[in-house]
Amino acid sequence: MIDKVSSSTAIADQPAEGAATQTEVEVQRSEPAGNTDSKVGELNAFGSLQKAALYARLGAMNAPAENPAPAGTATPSGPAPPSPATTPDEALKQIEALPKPSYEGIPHNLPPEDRQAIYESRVEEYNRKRAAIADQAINSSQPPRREDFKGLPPRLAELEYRDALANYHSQIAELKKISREAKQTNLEMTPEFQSLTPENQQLVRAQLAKNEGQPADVDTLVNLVKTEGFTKLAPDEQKKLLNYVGGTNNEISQPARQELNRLLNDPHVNKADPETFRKFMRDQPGLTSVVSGTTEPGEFDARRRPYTISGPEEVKDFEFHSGKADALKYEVEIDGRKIPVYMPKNPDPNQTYQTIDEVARGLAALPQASRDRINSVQVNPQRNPDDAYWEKEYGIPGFRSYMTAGADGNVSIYPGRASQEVLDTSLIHETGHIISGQELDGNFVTNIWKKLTGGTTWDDWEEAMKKDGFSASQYARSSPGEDFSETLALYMKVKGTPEEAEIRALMPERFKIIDKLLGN
Amino acid sequence: MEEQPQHLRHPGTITFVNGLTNQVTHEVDAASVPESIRFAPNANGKPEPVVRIVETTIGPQRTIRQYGAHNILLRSTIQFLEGGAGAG
Repeated sequence: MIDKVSSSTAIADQPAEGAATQTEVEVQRSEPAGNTDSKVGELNAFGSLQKAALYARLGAMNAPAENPAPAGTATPSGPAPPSPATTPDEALKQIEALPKPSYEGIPHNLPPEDRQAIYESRVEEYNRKRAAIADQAINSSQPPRREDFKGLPPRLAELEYRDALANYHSQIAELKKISREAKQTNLEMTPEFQSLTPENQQLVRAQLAKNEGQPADVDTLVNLVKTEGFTKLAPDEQKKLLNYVGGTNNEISQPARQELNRLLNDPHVNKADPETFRKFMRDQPGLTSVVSGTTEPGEFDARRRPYTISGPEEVKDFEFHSGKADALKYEVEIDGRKIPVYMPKNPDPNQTYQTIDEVARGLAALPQASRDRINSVQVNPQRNPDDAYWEKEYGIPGFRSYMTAGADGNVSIYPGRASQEVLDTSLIHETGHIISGQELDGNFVTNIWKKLTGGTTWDDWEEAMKKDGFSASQYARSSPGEDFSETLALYMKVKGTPEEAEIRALMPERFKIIDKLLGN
Repeated sequence: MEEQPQHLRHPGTITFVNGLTNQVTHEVDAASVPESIRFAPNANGKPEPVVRIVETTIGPQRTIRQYGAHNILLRSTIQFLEGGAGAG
């Protein structure tokens, strides 16, 4: 067990007025005392104001030259830094061996606040070293391999390998915890953190804990909170930004955090200006182009309704959008409703198609409100004949239609087999347009939309967009209509998953409307 | 010139809009547009004239939305760039 040390630790020889509750640690008291000069040296890493005040109180005695020792070398009488640990085991031992910070050697005649300042600088340095050792091992160590045990009898080798692997993962998890706790403790000592509201302080702690598995992400969040620009944001804005970049969802927060890291490391960006972070939230850099772009295989599986497929029966000269051709008519039954699906009887061997099972699975993943609007699905034997016109009109070759959804409730799917995830999100997106029914300008609201959303108007949707601020994808930002379809796709994607709470916190107003729409 | 569906005449022009900027890019004579594009079925399955087309392209994906009178959405098409994301 590795001790945690925080600045609120009390020890026996600390003046009573500076004492705080001992919450976390046993502090080692055997550290050799250093001289006054070295105590001042410790402050190099702490802060110029406190340092200047201490020099003044010490009468500038032995004040060092203006060239402080680099951080990490200022701790008095500490051992030479150990060589980098290459295994989790070595790292844990190195961390255990680090001298614990204490008040030992800090002159008693110093004012309590100076003693506290020196002590805190020791705590900070100690935590910095712990995090550095842990991160180094996390980044450089490798898990055990089966061949490492090849000298043993096969069964024993397998058992030893599994045991070593479990131990490795357990030690890595412990190092990640140490790293996060050390960084968090140091952050909590900063005036920037202390300036946050208690609610936002708690949110920062929660976000750091959530991202413990990725030390680099913890660094990004810590660095954000320490910027002047962040502290100058209003508490509500801070909360919004923390929710945005602090989540573990890969739809919005993870790409945002990567971009934030880039921004924080860009020397040309003014991090002291809160507008920098307001703009960051407005622009949402790194946002995925479409919701389907972040959909992993199987993500909709938990939300698929049970379905049955019956048929087929042959239909002569069926009028596909791509032209008349013989069809096979299937019926997909979901929640007691049957939806006809027409497949080409004589598929073109040069084309690929979505299968009847994929179509049925896609229909089963739709929210009921969307599915209720579908009257039929056609898997067309040939390309959309309109493609030629669109290509000429827009002047970009190579685009081909994948899916068309009509106000009449008929969905056409064209040759070109996409993954199940693309089919799922495309169906949700396109049928979302059918539900919403129209463009949002002109305040014209269809009866269907009003009925489905309990009287919600498009004005309400646009107002919700404004209040939420964040978008589901780049596509969503092109118009309120696309915003609705993409938000609906994202809603369906995360509904019932651990990510739902995070995404809901980013777009609470629109999720409320969709809740009403879907009767949730 | 293609024949229009019986009992239905097109008002004459179709407005094209860039979905990213919401700016009108141009207007065309409906007669120059294939019938399968200048008409699309409404909620009752009856063909209606398309008077506005909004195109939004982001990366390898494009949506084309066709609207009738009163901004009623008649048809929405999603396209993928061959070799890009989406259908292969």
